[in-house]
Amino acid sequence: MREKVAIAGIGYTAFTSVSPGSSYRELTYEAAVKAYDEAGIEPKDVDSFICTSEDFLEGYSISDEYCNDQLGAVLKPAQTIPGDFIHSLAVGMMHVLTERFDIVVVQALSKASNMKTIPEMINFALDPVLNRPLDITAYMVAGLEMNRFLAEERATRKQCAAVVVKNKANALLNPVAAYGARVSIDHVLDSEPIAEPVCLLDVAPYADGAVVMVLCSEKLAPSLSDRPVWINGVGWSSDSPTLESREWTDAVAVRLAGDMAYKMAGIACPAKDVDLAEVNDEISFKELQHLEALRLFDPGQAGKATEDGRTSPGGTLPVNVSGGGLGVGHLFECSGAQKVLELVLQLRGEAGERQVSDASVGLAQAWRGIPSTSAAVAILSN
Amino acid sequence: MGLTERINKTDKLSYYEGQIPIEYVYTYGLGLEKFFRAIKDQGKFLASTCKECGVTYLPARSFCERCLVKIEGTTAVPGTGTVYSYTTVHLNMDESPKKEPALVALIDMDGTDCRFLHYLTGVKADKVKVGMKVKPALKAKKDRKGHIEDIVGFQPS
Ligand SMILES: [Zn+2]
Repeated sequence: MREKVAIAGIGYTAFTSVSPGSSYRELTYEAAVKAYDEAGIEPKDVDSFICTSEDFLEGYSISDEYCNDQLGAVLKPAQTIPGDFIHSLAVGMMHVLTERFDIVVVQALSKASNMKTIPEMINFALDPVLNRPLDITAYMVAGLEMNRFLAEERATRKQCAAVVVKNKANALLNPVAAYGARVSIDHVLDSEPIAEPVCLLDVAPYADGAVVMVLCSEKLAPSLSDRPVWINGVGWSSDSPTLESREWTDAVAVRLAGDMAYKMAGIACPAKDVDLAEVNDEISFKELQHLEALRLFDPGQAGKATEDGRTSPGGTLPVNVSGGGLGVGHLFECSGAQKVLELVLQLRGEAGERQVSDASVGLAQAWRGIPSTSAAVAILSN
Repeated sequence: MGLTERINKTDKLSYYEGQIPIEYVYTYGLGLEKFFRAIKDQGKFLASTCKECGVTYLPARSFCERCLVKIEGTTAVPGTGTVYSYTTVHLNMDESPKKEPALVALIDMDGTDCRFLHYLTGVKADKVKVGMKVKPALKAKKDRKGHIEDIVGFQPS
């Protein structure tokens, strides 16, 4: 049987709306030293470092160059993935599986509060010739997609709002979440419209934070951790970047990423075998769309399940117990890291007040956000 | 290891404001060149079909994104279509509020396997429906420059 890969150490900062007391380097440094301390290692023990970074979001050309020092990776094998943390996690897993690297460190950071022009930055991801000249917020992509999702009766408007209510309430029990709140469905529906039907409270607000994880081989795991969490499967996929020619109602790339991860993890029946899921909820309806794409609910059923409390803590499939993007904050390329982090805490039984009982298999899913289709999935177990 | 102190006084916080001017020229390439030339000169929408998989792209393209084969030739399509979805947008690109909310639609384009994104004109938001038939409204020929703004929007047909 193939060797397993362990998550043997985690380090993370709180996720906050601003972080003026720390530089972006210090955020990663804080997460790194905690992760190394937990695994009982020093940077010299690490065989490979994988950072997650995207130039425009960091504010540097070749932002790769600015990832090493705060991780102890200077003059060490290090590389950068301009995707989500879960893409980096997949690469880290593969490094370990080659048996040429025993200990691999994976990092992601969001210093969103450093960016003065986030809306323009997101718009910059649209096609420059066909779409950008229209001079409208990139959230129009979410507005079009959500309107079609509702028109096809895949969910009701209120079921989408129920996702916001649930996730912001979940975040109240997460000490590192930035946007925990007790809101009602009416609060969501009455919030300022952005690109109808998407309103302000449907959208995950930006947050800062850093996550670092130490991965290692199965043989090394007992010496680094007494409670390793295993990476059973990873998958990733992207649809066409072109708005004009890609799929809209179904998140097909998420489905393919999920299927790839399920296959690797030997999961035949996701709805039965997954105990908890942290899925991308950057816009309220995306949680429902992603749950269905991941085969955790049949098409058109995730909204009803949310309304009935089946995705709430204590439900049959708790979703975004951490608070998700809506409750913790939109962390850009660190979004998937927050989701994997929550699974690690839950699978170790260290999630405190929000601990899901008898959790043994968890799924984390990332999406690169508007207007992308890029998706990555990881399946972990204890 | 670890930081033992933090800045905890707001008046001790310092930062440096940085910016970089970023400007690009985005060349159209073969496919888009033909498409925008036809809009400008003839007021026509040019699509192109992949011989391998039969997918018809609008705007016309020089290769198929599914099969990766070269696509040769173009065909004019009517430019009409059906509203696949629509949204009333309240913010500009920089998230400043729009003076007037804009109606934007994604349109299933007749004779193609693609959709087209543009403004909806000549119709109020509460009258728009998914499935509504629309036709393009172009600028007068003398005002057309060979880019997306040559199309004013789509209106009920
Ligand atoms: Zn083809």
